[in-house]
Amino acid sequence: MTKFMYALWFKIACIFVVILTGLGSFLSLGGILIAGETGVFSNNPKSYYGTPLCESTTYDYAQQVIQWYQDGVDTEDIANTFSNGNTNFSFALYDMHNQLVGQSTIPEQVGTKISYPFYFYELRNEDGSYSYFENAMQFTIVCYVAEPLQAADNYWFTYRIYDAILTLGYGLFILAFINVILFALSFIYLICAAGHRNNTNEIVLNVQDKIPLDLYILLQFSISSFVLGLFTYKRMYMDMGGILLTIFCIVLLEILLLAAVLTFSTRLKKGRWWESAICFRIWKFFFLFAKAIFSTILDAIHALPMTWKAIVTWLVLSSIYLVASRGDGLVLFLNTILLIVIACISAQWQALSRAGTQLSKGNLEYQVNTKRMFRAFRLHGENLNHISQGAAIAMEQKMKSERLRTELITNVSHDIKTPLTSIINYVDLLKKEDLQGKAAEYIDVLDRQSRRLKKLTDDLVEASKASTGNIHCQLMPTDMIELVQQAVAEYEEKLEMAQLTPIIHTPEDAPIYALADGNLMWRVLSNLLSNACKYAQPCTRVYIQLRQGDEDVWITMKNVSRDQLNVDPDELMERFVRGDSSRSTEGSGLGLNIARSLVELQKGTFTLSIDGDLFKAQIRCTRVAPPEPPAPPASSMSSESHTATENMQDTISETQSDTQNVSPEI
Amino acid sequence: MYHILICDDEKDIVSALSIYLSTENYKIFTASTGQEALDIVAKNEIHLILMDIMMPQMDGISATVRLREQYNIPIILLTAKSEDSDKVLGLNIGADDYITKPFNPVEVLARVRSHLRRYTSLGGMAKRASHLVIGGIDMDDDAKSVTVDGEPVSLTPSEYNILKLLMENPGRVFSSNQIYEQIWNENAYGTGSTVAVHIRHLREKIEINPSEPRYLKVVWGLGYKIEKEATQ
Repeated sequence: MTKFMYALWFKIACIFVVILTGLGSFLSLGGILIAGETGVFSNNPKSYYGTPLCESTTYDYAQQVIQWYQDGVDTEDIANTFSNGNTNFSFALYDMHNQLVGQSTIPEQVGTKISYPFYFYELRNEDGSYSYFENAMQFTIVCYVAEPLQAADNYWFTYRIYDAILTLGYGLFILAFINVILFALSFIYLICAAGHRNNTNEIVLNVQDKIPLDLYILLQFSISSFVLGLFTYKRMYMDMGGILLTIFCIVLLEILLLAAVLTFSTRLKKGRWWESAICFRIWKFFFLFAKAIFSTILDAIHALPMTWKAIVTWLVLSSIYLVASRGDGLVLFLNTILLIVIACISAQWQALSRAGTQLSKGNLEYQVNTKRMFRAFRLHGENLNHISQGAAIAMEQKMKSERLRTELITNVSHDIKTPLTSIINYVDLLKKEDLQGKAAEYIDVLDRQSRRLKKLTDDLVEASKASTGNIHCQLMPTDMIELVQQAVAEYEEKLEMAQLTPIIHTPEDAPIYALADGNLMWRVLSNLLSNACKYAQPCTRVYIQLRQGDEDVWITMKNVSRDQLNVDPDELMERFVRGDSSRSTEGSGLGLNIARSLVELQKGTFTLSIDGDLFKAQIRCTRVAPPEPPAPPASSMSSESHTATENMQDTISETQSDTQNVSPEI
Repeated sequence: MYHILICDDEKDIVSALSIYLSTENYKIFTASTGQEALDIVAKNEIHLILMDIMMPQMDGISATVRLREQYNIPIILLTAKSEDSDKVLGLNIGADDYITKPFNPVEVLARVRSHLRRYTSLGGMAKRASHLVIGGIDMDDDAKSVTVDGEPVSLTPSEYNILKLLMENPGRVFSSNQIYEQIWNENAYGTGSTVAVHIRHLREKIEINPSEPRYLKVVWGLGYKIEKEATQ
């Protein structure tokens, strides 16, 4: 169904149906009218000679005769044209004195006899000159139609129509009904389908829809008028040519009307139909132009300081006053006093508004000078000053509490560390005592748990510092490939023990530099790698992928989890959440939280995703160009011990010659 | 028989350390405040001091400053503070080493041994031509042997070459690729973490605590270096 719903061929077919049935409707309805006139439906139909068909044919011929007569054609010739079996028409023409002017052969049997009066104001004489008359002269033409019809003339043609109508009878109604229904259906379909295409939901404009609306209406109007004009100029004769011309004009008008209806429905469906009109475009252009001018003027007014605005307003108003009061001095004086007051008010208002702007920008230090202000303004100004003080206090308190919190955690952990040192030491001493049986097992538990407590304490301090940004972070171009390789090398043994193979993917051999703090980034990678060692499925691979875009560098680490991960990735980054809900493995559950905080501290993003058993961590940081010359070392602690690198090349070549031949026996 | 002074206000830590150090045949002196430590050093011959930082009356930092005015005894600071800035401060005012709580007793013993050896036997050693000396590391390029605090360590040829390259350029950072090209004399294309793994092995051999190296330091994202004068 939908396949041919809006198909082009279907639409074209419908257009043909509309045109044909439109024509059919016109003709069949016309037929019904004539049939009604003829009395086809009254059981007593008139004979052909009594029908309007016959009558109008007679009138056409009569007019022809009069025309020729007026043009001075000899009546004999006129009579000859119609007689001798050329037509079934014969006539007798009488002048104003009821004298016979000319006549053709009257047949023996006359079907009908009609006389028409004609009025002349001018008459062609026999010598070719014209005579003019004050009052109209009445001529009479008496027309006869032969019965039965003998010649194949217009009578014969209209008799065919009469015959057809008579034969069809009530069938005309059925014909008209079918035509009208078909016409209406296809017409409605075309209106609905206008603008739609099979392959898209959008309304598509065709060629005629793109013509500007007003231009289109003008075009339609002129073509239609032309067709109508053609139709009326070439008056319809009741003959073959006349009927064909009528049909041609009807079809043409139908096409024009259909095109107009379809384009209007498409435009309406598309919406904003008025925008295509040339008038609208011209109006819009002028509108935008006027708007631009208006907004420029408005901007200029806004840019004026408040006082100037007041003065300009005063100048305008007082000049109007002056004109109105015909130069009254007192009005001018009072107005000047008014100006001073207004200027004061606007100046104070401006000061307050400036303070408001500063406050909204976060400049809480800003104070308004409320001296020499009117009372209402002074109160407002003081309130503004108080707001800034209040906000500054609140801000200070917030910072203080943040600092206190970090300090608290650090202090508490220091206090925990001292007794913990004793515990670890004495457990170790106990281990050296030769304890037997269960005691040795218990000592092992104590040993393990005290070490875990130590790790927890360290991680807690680090997590607290990282999340509050209390860690020294020095961002500088860092070679990420080098960093990843260093980190993997540090974890080589642990990865081996966990039966994991690290695989590092770097896209190209060129170095990848990111803006990062090497020490912090190492801690991030270390946390991730240690996570992999603890939670990855043994005998699998850990993939570390380095990638760089135009502005970012991505480090992605993927590994297969040993246990089922029933946790949301975001939840995994929360503090103290671990992949295994039993919490049987070592670890504090702070690793990923610390990693995220540290990455964010370096202006990067840290995302986790879990796809089945695949655990994926992604670090994004800002890409930078490789430093030139090589960057100074990242560690602030040892920075003083570094020397410049300018002699690097020399040293390297020296050492190269030294080291080449070394074969130490150790 | 070396004399060691342990100074900490936490009695349990003092006695635990005493037990460990006694097994190594050291004579132990104990103090619970900085002032006490100063008194003991004045009256006795002390070879090494383990000093806590946070103590009542006089803390470890002030005591170290006072001690350095007269003595060059090795001082190892013990503290619960693990900030980098605290370490820098401690080393700058004259301490020789720094151990954070909670510490591993084995590590404390190793560090004590190392400092005692350098203080007593290696302290005044003259620098010979073929010897490269940085801190406690002594590399004899003729004999191709390396000792750390007097104890010989066995290195593979690659490790030896890497250590030599770094010791010849103390304080200078070498990237993995630079080291590879120097030692293997090949283009460092696609060598992955070869150098990094070698360095880690090397660090395990020459450092007491490989995760907190005194000499061979990792500069993350740049490369490796040997400190010019490690922790002194």
